[in-house]
Amino acid sequence: MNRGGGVSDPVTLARTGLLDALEALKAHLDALVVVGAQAIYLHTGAAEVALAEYTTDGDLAVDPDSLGSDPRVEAAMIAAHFEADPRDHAVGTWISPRGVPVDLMVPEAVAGLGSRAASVPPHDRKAMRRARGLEAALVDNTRMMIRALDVSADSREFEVAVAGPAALLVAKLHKIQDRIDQPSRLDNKDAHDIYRVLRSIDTEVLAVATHGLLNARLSRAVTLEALEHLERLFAAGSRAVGSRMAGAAEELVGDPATVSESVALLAQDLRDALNARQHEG
Amino acid sequence: MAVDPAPTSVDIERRIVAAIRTSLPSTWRVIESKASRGSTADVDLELSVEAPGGEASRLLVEVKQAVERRDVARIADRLRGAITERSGIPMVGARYLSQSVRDALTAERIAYADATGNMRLESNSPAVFISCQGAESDPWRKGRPRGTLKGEPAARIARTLLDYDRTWRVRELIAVAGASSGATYRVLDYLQREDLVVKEGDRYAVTDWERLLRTWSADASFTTTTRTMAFIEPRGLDAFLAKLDPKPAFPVAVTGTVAAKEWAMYAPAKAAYVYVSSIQEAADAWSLRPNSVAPNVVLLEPATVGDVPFRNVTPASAGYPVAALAQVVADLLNGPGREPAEGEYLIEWMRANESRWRRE
Repeated sequence: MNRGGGVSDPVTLARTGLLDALEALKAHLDALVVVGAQAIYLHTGAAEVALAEYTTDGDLAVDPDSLGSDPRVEAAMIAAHFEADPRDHAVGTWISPRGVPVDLMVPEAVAGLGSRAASVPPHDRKAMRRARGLEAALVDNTRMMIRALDVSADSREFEVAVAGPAALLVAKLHKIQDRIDQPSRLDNKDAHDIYRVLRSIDTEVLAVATHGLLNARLSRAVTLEALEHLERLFAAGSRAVGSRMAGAAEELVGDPATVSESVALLAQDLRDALNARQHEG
Repeated sequence: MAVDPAPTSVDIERRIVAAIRTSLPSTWRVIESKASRGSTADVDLELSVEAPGGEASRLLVEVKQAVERRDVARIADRLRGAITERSGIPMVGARYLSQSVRDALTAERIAYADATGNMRLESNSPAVFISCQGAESDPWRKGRPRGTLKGEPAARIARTLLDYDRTWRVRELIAVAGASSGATYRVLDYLQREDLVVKEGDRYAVTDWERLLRTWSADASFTTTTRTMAFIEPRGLDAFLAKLDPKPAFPVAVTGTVAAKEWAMYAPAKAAYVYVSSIQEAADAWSLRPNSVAPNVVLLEPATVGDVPFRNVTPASAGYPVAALAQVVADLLNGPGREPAEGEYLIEWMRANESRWRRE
């Protein structure tokens, strides 16, 4: 089997890293949900925006309720030649044989006790980290076939759950909010991913899915928080922090002002559609 | 505004000589060769411009009250004929020379000067270059102002003459352009004086479609002939274009960069410019939101050009109605940013592909 030898561009490499992790954890595929930028691009591939799709890592949410005990996650990853990132703050980050970081994250509401590591016995405490905002991914997801970006070089494919656009919005909004005090240029891309989702997914479709997240016990709290973040960071206007970050991501390659204006309007549309839905009951 | 009486030919000559003198250092001399005046049938005035070292060049000046664009080629020929007998620099003097006449004289390499201060004079030996700006309209003109291609009748005639590659009887032109007969004659008269149209027998023909297009575009910018309003489609230009019905309920014509790519791709569009019969109706139909900060849709509602922008629309490859190429290019030449450059690029394409955009 060809496994992507010789790939060079970061996005193709990141997909290879994700496939490596799915292969390592194939006994646990039912417990995994693909989240993060790769999941966003799977939904928004058609969005013609100036900023190219770009990610260098893979993100997987783990549902402890569906996670079996054999093999242990850490053993499976090591057997597939992944190495645990030794840094304290990077617990749950595994480096693939080709150097791609893959994050294994358990939604905080189901991650047991602890501050950074997820407590999912009998798996090792350092195998997965806890992350707030991913609860929605366990509620809103659909199964998709994940393949390499260049299937002629890597023929592997895995059917696995991929977080839905509404769940991805909730997760991204939490991520942006968590880092709002020390924003970097990299975070601009997260804000731009919000624009990507809002632009390519029909507002009504997003509103229905978000409404579903508000009605599910597991995801209600994080979704309410995410909607507060959406209001303050984006819907408040084109000069709100998140809107400006999304625009800044297109500096030199696109049209920052149009992105900032557009993401604010689309966030307002989603808010208004949700309000209308709430009033309908 | 009260103005002095129109200058006589003698006044014009005097002003030209004075203007050349004041444009040169005081050590130079400008001498009127009185002897020559009237001595040859082809030149009204002969001037000698002498540098301090004694080097001199001779100006052979034809002085007229008014010069029409269509007269320029004839005057140029006559002056060049006079030069073959006596070496010198050909020059035209007049009460007033319009921009289009000045452009034509420059293209013919004929020096000029008018009594309002417009002047251009080039000499290699002694080395002289004078370029001065005078009035932009004839201060002594009486009656109906000199024509332009502003307004609806001119737009109808100009667009018709551009869109079709053929000669015209007046009644045919009136029928196709949809202009009144009086207005058609007035516009044709102006176009003849500007040497943009010639009459052969009872038929009119365009002499130079490119100059007609440029002249009409300069006179009738969409910024003056339409009401414009800027909007944003937050899902982007493609999402907006997808909303445009191939058979819209109201008149629609896409222009600008988006339209241009139907003929020749220059650069990706950042905004769509779309003629609509009613901005209000279109903005409602397409759920557009007013936005002046970062608009990507600009709607244009014709105010003084009737339905001309909607004439001869063609379907884009995606189906929506696109304005005729001459309209698109005229709008690009008046557009912001890189759009004028795109207009020039399309004019090149039009030159090379005339049969692909002008109808029989």
